Amino acid sequence: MANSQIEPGAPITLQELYPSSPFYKEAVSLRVTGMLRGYSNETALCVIEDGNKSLKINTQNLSDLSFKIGSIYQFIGELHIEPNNEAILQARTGRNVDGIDMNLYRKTIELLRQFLQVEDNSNMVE
Amino acid sequence: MENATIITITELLNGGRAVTGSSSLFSSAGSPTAHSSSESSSRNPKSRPGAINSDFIAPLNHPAVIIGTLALPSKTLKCPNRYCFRFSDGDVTVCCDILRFEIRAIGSKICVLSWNFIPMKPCGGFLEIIKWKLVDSGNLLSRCSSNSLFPLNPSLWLSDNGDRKSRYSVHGLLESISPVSVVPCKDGKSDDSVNLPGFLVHIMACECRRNAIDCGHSFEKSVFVYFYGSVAASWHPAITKLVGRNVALSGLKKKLVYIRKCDSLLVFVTTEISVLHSPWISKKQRVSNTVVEKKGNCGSYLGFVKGVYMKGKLVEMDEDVWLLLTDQILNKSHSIRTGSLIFIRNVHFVNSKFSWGEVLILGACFKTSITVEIFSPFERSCLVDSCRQTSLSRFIESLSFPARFWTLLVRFCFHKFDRMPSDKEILTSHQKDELTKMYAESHITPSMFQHRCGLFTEFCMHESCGCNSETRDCNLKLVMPISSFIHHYKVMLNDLLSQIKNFSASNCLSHPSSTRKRYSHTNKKTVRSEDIGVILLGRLKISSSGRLQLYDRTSSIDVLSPDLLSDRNACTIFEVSDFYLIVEGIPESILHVPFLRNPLRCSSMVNPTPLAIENTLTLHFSLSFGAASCKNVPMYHSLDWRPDLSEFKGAMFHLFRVTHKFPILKYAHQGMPDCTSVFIEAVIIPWDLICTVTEEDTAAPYFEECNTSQEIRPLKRLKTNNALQRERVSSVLREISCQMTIRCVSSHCLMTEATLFNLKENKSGNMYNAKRVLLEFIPECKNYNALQIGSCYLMKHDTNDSFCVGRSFIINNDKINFGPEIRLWSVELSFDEVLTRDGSMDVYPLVSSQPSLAVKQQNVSSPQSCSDVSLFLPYDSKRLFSVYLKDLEELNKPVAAEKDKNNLSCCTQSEMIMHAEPSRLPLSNSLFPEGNLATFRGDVVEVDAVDSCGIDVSSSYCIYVLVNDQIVKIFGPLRRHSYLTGFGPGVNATFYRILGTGGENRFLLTSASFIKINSQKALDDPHLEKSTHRAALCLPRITPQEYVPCILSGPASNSSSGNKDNQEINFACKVVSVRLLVLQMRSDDPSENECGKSIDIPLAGFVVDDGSSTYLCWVSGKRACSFLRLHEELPEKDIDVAQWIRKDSSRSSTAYHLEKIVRVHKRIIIKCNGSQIDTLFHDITITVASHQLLTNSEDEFLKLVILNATSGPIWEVAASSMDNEMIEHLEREQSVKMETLKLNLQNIWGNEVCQVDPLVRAWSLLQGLLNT
Repeated sequence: MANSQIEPGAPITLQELYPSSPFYKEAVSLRVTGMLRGYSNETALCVIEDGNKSLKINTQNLSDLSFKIGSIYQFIGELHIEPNNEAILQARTGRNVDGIDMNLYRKTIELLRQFLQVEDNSNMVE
Repeated sequence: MENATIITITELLNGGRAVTGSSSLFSSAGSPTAHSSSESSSRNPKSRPGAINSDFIAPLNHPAVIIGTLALPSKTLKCPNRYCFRFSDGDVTVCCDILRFEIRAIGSKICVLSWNFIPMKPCGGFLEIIKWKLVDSGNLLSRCSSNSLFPLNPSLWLSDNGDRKSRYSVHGLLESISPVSVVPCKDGKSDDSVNLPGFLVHIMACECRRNAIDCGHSFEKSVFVYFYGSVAASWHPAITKLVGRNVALSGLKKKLVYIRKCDSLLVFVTTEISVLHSPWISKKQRVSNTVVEKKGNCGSYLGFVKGVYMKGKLVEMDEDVWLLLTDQILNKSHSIRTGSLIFIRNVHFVNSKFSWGEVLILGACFKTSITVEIFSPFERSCLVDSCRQTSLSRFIESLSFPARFWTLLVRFCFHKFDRMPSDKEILTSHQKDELTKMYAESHITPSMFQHRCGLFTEFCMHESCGCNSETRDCNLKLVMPISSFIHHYKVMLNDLLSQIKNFSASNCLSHPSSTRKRYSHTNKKTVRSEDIGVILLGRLKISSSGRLQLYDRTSSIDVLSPDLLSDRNACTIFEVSDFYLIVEGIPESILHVPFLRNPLRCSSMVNPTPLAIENTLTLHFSLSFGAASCKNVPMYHSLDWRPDLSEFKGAMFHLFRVTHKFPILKYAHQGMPDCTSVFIEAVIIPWDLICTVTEEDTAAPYFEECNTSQEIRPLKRLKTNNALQRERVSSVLREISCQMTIRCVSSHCLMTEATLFNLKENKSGNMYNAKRVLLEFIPECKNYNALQIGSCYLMKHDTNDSFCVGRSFIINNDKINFGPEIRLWSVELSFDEVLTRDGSMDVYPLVSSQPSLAVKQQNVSSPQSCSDVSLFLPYDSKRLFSVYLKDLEELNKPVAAEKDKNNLSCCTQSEMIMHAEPSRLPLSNSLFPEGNLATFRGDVVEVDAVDSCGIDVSSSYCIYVLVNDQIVKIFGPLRRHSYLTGFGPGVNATFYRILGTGGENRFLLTSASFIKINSQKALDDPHLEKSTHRAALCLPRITPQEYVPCILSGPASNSSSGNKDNQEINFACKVVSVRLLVLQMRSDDPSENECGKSIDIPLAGFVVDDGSSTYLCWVSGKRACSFLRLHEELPEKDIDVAQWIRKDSSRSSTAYHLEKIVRVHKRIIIKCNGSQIDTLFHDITITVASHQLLTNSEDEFLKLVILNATSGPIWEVAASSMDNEMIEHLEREQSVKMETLKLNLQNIWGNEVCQVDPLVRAWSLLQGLLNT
């Protein structure tokens, strides 16, 4: 990839991906998780869903991931905002995470953020 | 067949019981000829030998047929369902239903070959014809020559009637049929309007002439035919049977029918000469019998009837599939019995989501027709609907299907409210209907109503009239009888428990046992009502044990309700929607497993199933009402509040304040009754109240709205009196005028004048001197429960009242008996500021009748006053009354707030939990504990059992209470206190008169201490919705502090005896490789190293990795089996199926196969020197004790066992370090070289090995993180 500084994919839930959200920006690195709803072989686009929210994923860079509708997948990649303000995640990597407890995962994301925030603050003080 | 006897209907009716018969029944048994010649008594079904299964219809013991005539319905038969087939054998006629119906059977003499007969009340019985044949081929039906012509009115039919108007004919697929309805018509002969029955059918017709050969018959034209007149209407059951088949009708008239104001429809109408042509087979005919299809919202459904409820309005089909037959006009066949297979055509499929679960509702409309495909073999009575229209049934018909379903369930619940023992009035069925209607109306939103436009419109313009526009989501909560509610949770817990038992049995998991004794009642779970989605209805009573209970006819449940009115009408039905369900006595093993959200099944409500396994749990269920949760169910007859008010009229009342309640104690001594009486300490305020309710006042009470608790009061009136009062108060102080608000049941309120008089008998002249007395109650007395510490109460004064009887005046510490019949009213004193501060209208309640209000849960909306009586006193009198009240406050001073916090060696909550060792009871030097009494309020964090240290406390507990962010420990015999329903962690409680032991925030619970539970928090783990988590949840939760050092088992125990101070470490790890494995047959001593079966592993070394460091973990016996996963099933592909027959699960386990090998070789020692998985088998030596060679497959299998161990799950291991002495000892004992030095790893001895589910572990970790 041309961009030498690849940011870590911030774990988020699909619910947090709405147009006014801080994550809803071009080239933001994200880690998204959701159930595979559909997959197209021609376009390499797939749609994951979590709750009532869904997200398109461009999987053209992923070679050895097999897709099974109904399974839960996790993707890390950069968000691309289309001209029509639709977001597509250009996946860098992806994996099947079947068996994940989404409720727990959501809570962990919250806790992780809290922790990172506290860390950031303490770093600033020192 | 030839031997079959002919049985008459009279015989069946005389038998009076359900019976089934057939021509071929028991054809080989006995001597049927003898039967046929014998008299009727021997054929009487009563003589049949004992029933095979009482549930099934009893079969006749000999073959029997019935011969008779099948006829269309007529008015002669006394059956409320007027349109069912008749069967007559010449003497008697009964209702019947017939399978494999053909039109030619009508009017013909048929021989019924197999049949069911069910007695039925109004018309004697009901015959279900399963198999039949025509007796003779001669057609008796018509005068026409053709077999396929059936005139609708045979008596009037002439073959060549040439009426020009009646020349139309229709042929096509019969789509649907409407119920019979009555239409006012003008008879041709007279001008009078006659009500004529008739029904509509919908036919998809072909536009060709019927006999056109070249037509491929495309049935595309929608045509309606109206069967008009009582004779034609009698064809209804026959036409119903033809739905889905091809029919042809000729001799019809065409008529334009106006069904709405502007909509007209061309309808074919039958005439006197109309002829039905028998169904013919077309190539395009649909085979609709086998198809359960769905078109849009409507479709067909084929299924077995599981239950018929509510007079046939509610039919249970499959799991969570319910058929609604709520429209009165619908003809409900008698043969819809439990167990019959029915085919429902043109029924609405409504997937309804309720707050308690999802239900598929099959909603019957006017297009729906139901045919019975297989009759029920069970002895269940027939459906007889009286067709009586009630206001409830009309109301139900006006609702959408989900709302109809809900309302029927509500009606079912109200059904549980009759014949209650304490009831004076018995609710009749009609009253219950009314009650249901009123209750449902208050819950159903306008969107749940559905506009009905009449049979014609709904049938002909089905799609456009809105018949299919259904609201899917219903935000209605299930109203349940209490027994079904409790039963649901019992079943759920039993399921959970049995799963856990199965799991731990199959995995030989060792449960970490806790040495901490716990207060058994702390094993409780709290579930919020939002998560249940259920409303409970019931009445309140005080049980014989003194507990407050909510009850209906089915059951009762304990209630914790701190904020109830002191006097509740026993007849009032309460609706409890916001509550916590507290389940106590949950076994330790499932305590930490989150409750699964099992959807409530409506079937369990209408027809509770017995528990699958024996109920070994002794669970205690109780409810804690949330804020404003308990409200009256609106009764159709407003409760009479006038007697309430008349009690006040001109009456004089004593005023007293409760200062303490003494708890009801359970005495440990045998033979002594639990409690004889209970005491309440009270202070009698030396002011009596005289109420001046006039007749006009009682006549015009006003309705208090929820939001106008303070504003509405007529302050004007008060003001006018104020000037006068001021004078009185300041000068005489003998009497104070005040405003009095009396609240009655059903929210009626009354404002009136009242006067407080200072008591004359106060001879000392000190008018502030209040008297402290003890009130003695029997525990069943409702008043004991209702009285709250800190509240003021009124008691009516007369010569016989408890305060006055037998004494001229009350002295301090008098004991006063209170009978259960004494009525008390809670009173709230407020002092108006209006006099002293101009313009300000503030009202300061000095004494709230509910002291808990101020510190209640934060989500309480508004502290609405709920005392029975409110007194508004002039501000000046506050000085007088505060004297009495201040005295009491000093007694009940909160201790934690008063003490200097710095002096207390308090520990925070987290610190407390770190202390794993149980707290010890403080030792006292003196014989009796000494200290100051204290009263405080706090959150209960934990309740633990305490080691008794010499003092006479056989079962003592330590309660950790969080008061003002400090942990306070309260010790005492908690179990002896009754009324502690729901007490445990998560409860906010007030502890009255707790003995301070001096320092360290330690207190003693004495027998005079009273605990009041204020509120309840749900401490539950979050619910997991998915049932896939079920298995994961069954694993025991592992928490590090639950581990206890235990004595090493097996061979290591001897050597480690001197090693007691070995530090134990706990970690989670994976097996990386197997170092050494010693396998042998089990020794004679079964207690030694047993491993399920007869394999014994005296020593095994595993290289384990916890992510940061690697250990060499030595284990033996069970723990080694766990590491090797010997009890798990082998993957199927690893077993040669021909060689290892997999019949039962025990044979498919690794242990089973390994045992075979070990049995041959006696003792096997496997040594692996490769420490990583890829080098595992590079340097492996297997030595056997037998002199046989290890076969190739055996060698492979042993390697598989090792490989299997290294691909195992995450283990939770409790281990202690090993010293050289111990290693040497083990080597000597097992005579193997452990070669511990080769790998530079720390050697540890595994004491406990548990598998842990990462999900469960993660949840508990999360819980821990969130709590801190």
